[in-house]
Amino acid sequence: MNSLYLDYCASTPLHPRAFQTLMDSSKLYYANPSSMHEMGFEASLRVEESREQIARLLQVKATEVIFTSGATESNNLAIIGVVRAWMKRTGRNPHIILSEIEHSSVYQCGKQLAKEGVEVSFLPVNRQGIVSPVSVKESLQANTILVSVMHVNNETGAVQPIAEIGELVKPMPHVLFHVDGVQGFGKLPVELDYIDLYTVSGHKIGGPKGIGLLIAKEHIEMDPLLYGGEQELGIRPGTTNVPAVLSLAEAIAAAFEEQQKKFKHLMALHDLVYSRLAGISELVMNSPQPPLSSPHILNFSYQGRGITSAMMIRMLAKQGIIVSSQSACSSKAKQSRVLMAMTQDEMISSSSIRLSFNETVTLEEAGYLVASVEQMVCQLKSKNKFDLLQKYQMNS
Amino acid sequence: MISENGPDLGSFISAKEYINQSGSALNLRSIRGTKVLLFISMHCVRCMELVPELQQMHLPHARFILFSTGSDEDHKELDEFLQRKWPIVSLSPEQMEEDFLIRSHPFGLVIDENQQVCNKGTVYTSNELLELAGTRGAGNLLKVLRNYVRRK
Repeated sequence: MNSLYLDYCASTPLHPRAFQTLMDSSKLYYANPSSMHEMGFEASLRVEESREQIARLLQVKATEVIFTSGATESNNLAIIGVVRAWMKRTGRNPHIILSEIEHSSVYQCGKQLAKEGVEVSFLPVNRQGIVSPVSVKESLQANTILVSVMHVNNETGAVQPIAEIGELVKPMPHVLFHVDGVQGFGKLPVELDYIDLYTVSGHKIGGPKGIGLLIAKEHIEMDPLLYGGEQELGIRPGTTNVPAVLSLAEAIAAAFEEQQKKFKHLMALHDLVYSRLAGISELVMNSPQPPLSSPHILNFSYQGRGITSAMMIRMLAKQGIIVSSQSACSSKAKQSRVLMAMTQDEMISSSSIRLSFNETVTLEEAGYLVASVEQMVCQLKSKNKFDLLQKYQMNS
Repeated sequence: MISENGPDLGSFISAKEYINQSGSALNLRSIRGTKVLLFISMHCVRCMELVPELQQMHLPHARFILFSTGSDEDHKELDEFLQRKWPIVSLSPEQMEEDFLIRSHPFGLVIDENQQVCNKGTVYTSNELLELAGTRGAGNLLKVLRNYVRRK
């Protein structure tokens, strides 16, 4: 049985152009780009070309592009780096604002900083999983230095009003606006004019793993998280991963070129799957509909009978359908923090399935997905769930 | 700090009293002979893959006890599915960690007649559980040796 991979939010295959670049540059540019010899210089030139290419595409300055190991590091650097620099300069504890539905690489930064004495406000979301700009406004304090709200939620696809929040924060020069753009980048248009710090992940957009970006505008004062060399203007020391940087630049270029075409296809997939699954009474649709949601993510829960995400992930896997929920096999993560923030309902939050598509998923495959979910739900209604797990195991 | 899953080999098992699916008290130390404890979570995909295999599993020389994070309703269904063969104890993930140092699932512990942990490990299949319990050839000895080397 061929697998129908529907976990593109977790990771994507390399785009053919990014793959080729990664292969070619791994052979050619293995020298350390910080070395003074010709080969090192050649490698560093390629890195700077990639930086400029990315800067042009994102309409920022090349000096504002910082290469990191991935989105987790970018988010940590943006939040902790800014807070620490401010604390060092002022000797005071600042206030920062995050939403309750941020990715754990943002959310846990907030939790950690709170332990260190930083005031942290976690903003609630509505039933659709969307932060209100009004709540951002109401949370601002005299000592607020940073607001961090993601563009597209990684579990539900809910699109956050980052333009409105950016406009709100822009007149306040002492408040920086960070956007975790991991799930929105390459899927939805984004304007970086009103954003001070912006995070991109390589492997979510057809680039390699282990590479990411932090766009940090020139005026930002930020402390490094690591100490060592002077790479990335000393903000992110460590030997530059040349092939990954070049491949990321290629993946970003491809994402920009193909964005519109992909969007149309993703909308068609989303419409088909959403309309059919929304008609199943046992399911609750957790994702709002576009334009309040990005079309590449669709999240639903099963209501009742103690059916957990793990059980459905297993059953669908036996049908060749690879999906995820809020977490990997973490026994402690019983419920999705994001869905709890949206619904305050333990059942919904512990029985969610996240489908995430890319442009290679066909409408026929989406039809197979829907039929498989319908069949699974129909059986879950009447059968012992463990009998059913066994039946699926035997049928595979 | 990165810590190993499960109690140290040679350590004594919890003396606490637990309640099984039919409401009866269950004290591990009062059960004689070798015991095999399996810890699963209803929120763990690998556990949900393992559960169907338990129905056909036979542990001839040991008492098998299942510790699960499920609700009473879950365990009623699970008990039916397992044909009421084994005790099922409902335990939260926090309690599993507190009492048995179990931090990930599915995880098996083998307790000898002296109430000490004699083997432990992550088990993804019923065969791996049987191997852990020592009913499958040399696998057990290898695991004990591996655990011993790791501890050193």
